[in-house]
Amino acid sequence: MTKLSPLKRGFVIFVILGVLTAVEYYLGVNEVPSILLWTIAIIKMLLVLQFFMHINRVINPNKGGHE
Amino acid sequence: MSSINNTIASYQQKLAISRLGLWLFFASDAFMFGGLLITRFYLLGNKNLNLDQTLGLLVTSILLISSFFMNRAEVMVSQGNHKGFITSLVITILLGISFLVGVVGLEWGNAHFGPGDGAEGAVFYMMTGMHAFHVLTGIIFLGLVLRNGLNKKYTAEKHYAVEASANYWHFIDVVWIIYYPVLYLMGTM
Amino acid sequence: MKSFMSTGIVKGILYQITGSFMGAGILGGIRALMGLSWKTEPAIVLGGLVGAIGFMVGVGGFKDWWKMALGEEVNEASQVFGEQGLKRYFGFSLDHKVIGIQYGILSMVLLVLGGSLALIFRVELAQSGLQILNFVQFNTLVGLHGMVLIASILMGIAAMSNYVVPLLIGAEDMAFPRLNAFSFWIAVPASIILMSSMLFGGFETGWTAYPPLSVRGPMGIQMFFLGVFIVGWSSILGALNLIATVLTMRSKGMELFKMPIFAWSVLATSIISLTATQLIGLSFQLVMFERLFEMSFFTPSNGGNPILFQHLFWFYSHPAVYIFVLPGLGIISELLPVFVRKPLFGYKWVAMSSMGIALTGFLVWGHHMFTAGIEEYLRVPFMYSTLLVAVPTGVKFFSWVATIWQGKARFPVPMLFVLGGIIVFLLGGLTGPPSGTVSTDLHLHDTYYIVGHFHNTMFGGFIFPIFAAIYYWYPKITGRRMSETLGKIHFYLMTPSFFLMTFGQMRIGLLGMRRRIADYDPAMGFDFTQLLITIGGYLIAISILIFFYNLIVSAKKGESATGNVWNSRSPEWDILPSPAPAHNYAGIHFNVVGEPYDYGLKGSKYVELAQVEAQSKESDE
Repeated sequence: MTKLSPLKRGFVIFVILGVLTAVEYYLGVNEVPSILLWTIAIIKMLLVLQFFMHINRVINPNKGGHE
Repeated sequence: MSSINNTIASYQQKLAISRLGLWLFFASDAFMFGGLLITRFYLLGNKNLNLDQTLGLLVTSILLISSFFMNRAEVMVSQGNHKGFITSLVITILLGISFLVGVVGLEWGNAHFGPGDGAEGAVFYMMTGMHAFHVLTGIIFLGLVLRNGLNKKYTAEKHYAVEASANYWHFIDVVWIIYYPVLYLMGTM
Repeated sequence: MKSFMSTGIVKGILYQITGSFMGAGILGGIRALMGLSWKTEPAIVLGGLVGAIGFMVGVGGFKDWWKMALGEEVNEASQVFGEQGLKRYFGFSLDHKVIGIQYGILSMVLLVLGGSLALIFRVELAQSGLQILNFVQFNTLVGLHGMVLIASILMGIAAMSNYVVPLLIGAEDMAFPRLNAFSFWIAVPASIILMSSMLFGGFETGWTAYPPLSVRGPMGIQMFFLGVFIVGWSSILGALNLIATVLTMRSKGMELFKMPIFAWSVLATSIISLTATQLIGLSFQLVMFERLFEMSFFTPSNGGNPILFQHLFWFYSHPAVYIFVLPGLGIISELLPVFVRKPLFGYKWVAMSSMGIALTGFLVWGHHMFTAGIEEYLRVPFMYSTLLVAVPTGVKFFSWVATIWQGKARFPVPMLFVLGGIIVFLLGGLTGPPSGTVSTDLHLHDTYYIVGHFHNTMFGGFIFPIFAAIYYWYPKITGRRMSETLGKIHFYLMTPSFFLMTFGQMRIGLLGMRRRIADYDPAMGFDFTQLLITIGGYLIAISILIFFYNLIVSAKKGESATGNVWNSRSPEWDILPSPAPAHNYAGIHFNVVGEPYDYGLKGSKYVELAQVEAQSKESDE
């Protein structure tokens, strides 16, 4: 994931998020146990935190890139 | 020479401090949104709000796409691609406005309850309203960034304002990532 | 006259008044256009909010941010040299020391206001029957006494941390100087709004504002909610700033475990107020919205649940007690080694105990709700988590005792207040477990015993330490010492009066006196003790008047003290002159060469001056 160029990485993450949302929607309308929905939501949240918000930059201020 | 190095170092240090401050703000705000989540489950338990699923999926997708373009805008400004940065930013803002129209304009108008109709109404309007308020402030920040961007205030090296508003925008998206299943999908009728 | 009108605070208040009327007028206008009649309650809420923003505009809090938002360059805070002299304390200043003093002034003003409210209702309680107040007035005074003093305490700890922390860790200023000034100034209109609740009919709920009473009662409660809500912003932003400062602005070589211990307690406090404050804000906002928009969060007949409020409220309001006391306990740990000339016992344990109290504090809120009808299976876990707080607190006490043990104690006024704080807080700690244990709490809940216990913790954890801190750092602020004689009178008058008050409260509490009741049955036999409590309260007030006299007079006439008055090792005394210069250590570099508290160890130093040449440059300017 780190090897990709930032623009491509953003696109890949976006596609994953989109697929997860579709799965989430499908599961949601079929009234599955909410633990599954929570799992998907948390995976989505972690993806955004890591790749869109760059949480590493604040945890390791010296290593963080700057794009 | 050394003074130039000094300025770079102090810019880097200021950047690190500003980032920390921004993330502390997110942590704080997350507690408020968490409090609303607790309110929802405390009052409604495992009850589904029976909302318009199509509209819910639509606004969620809009916000997700806007997050994607926000990320593009931030990457592009860091690569010095000024035109791409402005285009992506404008798309983000337009998507943000359509999200607001979708939630406040359509969803609030269509919902089968008003804010005074029992705990469902109170919880739904409070959660979406609080989130919409943050979206609105986010749009204002992005508007300012757009204005300054058009005036070429940001360079590939120095554009913390872009990064900060982008992070704020993604934070709003994270909140909706949790709120969407909680409000629309979870629970039984 | 013109210069008076241009003073930040005067301009701010004028703008606030204008803003309030504008906000109320806009709402009235919109409602009139929609064909609706005038409604006071939403008008005062919007008016209060617009007024607070107006105050910030008037005082100049948005000026630089507006420029930044438009992409213009603004001066670095270290390049801003504000006004000099007394006037700088009444305007928008970016200097953390000025802001610290401003916080201190606001804290003392609120202390006087909140204390005076108590003096009024203590007269009512001094004998049975109703004499001077009616029920709503009594309830308003009791509730405001609580909340105004909470605001005062929040301002007081902000004063101590703002003034002292950057000095202790060797920083030039706070991490975000503009945010720092903002978070002070927003508290001023908030305090005005909070006090204005008396003008709008008061409120009947006490400081906890439980629904359903707060949903129904007079609309003064809205001003109470709004005021607390905005004080909450101040507290959150201040905490954010302090965390960033402690984590990133430390001088070179000062590792986390080499910081002065007060910085640790401020860090722990700030973690709580950064996060938990959101929930009292939210809970109050929900009640506001329930009153304004009829959103029924807390009305059972319409699907709500009043217990929810208590969960949200106490999730902040119990940890809030640790917000109030942790800086005070940090002051005790900071000052004790200076005055007994011995190392602080178990530095790392004390530092970690602050964090321990902060984190455990998040798990204990349910003990306020044992009688509220929460699920029975929650009671015992909450009881255990509550008693668990005693462990880190005990660590602090053992550390203090071991520090005093065989020390060469001196007893100037700050030390007296430190010792008084330890004793009173010990009393507060010992009266805690009976209130945290389910079986005893069922009897003690809502009685004056709780009032006594609470005042013990607040006096021991805040009032005594902040007085110690003021006496201790006063020479650093003014270059003069406060009078020792008056200080001793203050201490020896306040301490016994406080014991009279608190033991009286606990006694009648155990005998069955309820809280927040304006009247009691003379047959209960409380009259005499109630009178004693009132007398105790007034004696405390007199001692604090003496303190204020001392505070003001010493600024001009006190014995001059410019050096290391207390023979302390920490950098602000060891390196800086008194009064501390603007921008603290600008041009001075010091290295951390030892442990902070190795008093009595021959030849050891905590900090050492590294470069002096820059200092002379500054004196040339």
